[in-house]
Amino acid sequence: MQPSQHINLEKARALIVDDNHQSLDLLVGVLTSFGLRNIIRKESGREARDELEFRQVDLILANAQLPEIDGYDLIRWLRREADEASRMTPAIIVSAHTRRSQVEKARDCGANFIITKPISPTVMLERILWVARSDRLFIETESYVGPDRRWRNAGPPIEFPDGRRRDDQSIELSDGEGLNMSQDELDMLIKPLRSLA
Amino acid sequence: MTDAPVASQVRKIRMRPRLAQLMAEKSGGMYVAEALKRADATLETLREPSLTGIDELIVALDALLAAELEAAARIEGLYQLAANIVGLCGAERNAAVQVAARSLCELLDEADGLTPSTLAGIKVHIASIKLLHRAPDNPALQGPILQGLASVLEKRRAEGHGQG
Repeated sequence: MQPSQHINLEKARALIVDDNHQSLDLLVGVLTSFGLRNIIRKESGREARDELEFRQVDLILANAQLPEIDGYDLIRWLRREADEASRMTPAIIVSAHTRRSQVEKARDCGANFIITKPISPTVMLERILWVARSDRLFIETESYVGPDRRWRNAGPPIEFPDGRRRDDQSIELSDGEGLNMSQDELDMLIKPLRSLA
Repeated sequence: MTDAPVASQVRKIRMRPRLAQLMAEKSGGMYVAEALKRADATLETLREPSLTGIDELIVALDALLAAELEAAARIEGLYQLAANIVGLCGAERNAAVQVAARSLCELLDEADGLTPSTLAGIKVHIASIKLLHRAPDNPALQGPILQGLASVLEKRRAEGHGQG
């Protein structure tokens, strides 16, 4: 993202979902500053789903934690059950903290991105520019429906130029734990299993 | 003879979001630098309301901790309040409140009931958030507090593994 890059969100319509009205104000404030004029505010996943059932939007920002239908389930529903015109709508989840029990759900819900709170305008705008790109594939399988999660062709987001996130383990190898295996034990491990041949 | 298992179907569709077309329109809009400047100015106007919101959330944390509710409901409520603090703490002049509130979320997410040890951990976190809230950025003062919270979480995890 370059400072001299031109953006135009004036005609876009966004749906923002957050059950905390102050967080909602922050999100709406940032998006309005980016030039978005048409913003629909909802405070629950159910209200957002009802909205999406009869109105198409260009961008969805949903808090992960929501009453009744959470943000992950909302996007999962959108990708799998919403009408054809809405299914591929760019969708970003905003989360203060991801519960351990929800890591897989978050990964597989089909959102284009998950952004951590508190909101940073730079990160938010970068993500919006990213999801607006039209060169991505939409994948449909039994276990996953959503944008292609592989970065191979598009490269990682700009703040992770080496493809590593800040909480990834160190690339340096640590000292091994426990006793080393003997050469005989190693040979045994890679020896062809004749009995199965 | 048995048939080989059918590979699951994978359908790939080229995405063409309407957002891309709208954003490319030349009439109107603004430059990225201007958008970010305006967003920072907007967040500045929302700074005091956000800090007041954190004041209220801290009061709510204390009240819920003292409430006579079943443990699971208290843990869930405290978790929501801590998560809401994380959401608003961009308004703080230091990043330490964010670290402390997120650490409290971790502690509550991993809590298996309100044991004396977990309760003590929650109280230490709330006390730390109170100390850090509205404080100027001072790593020399904030560092030891955050290290203490990291130790609390680590100790609680070690106890959890010991029980498991």
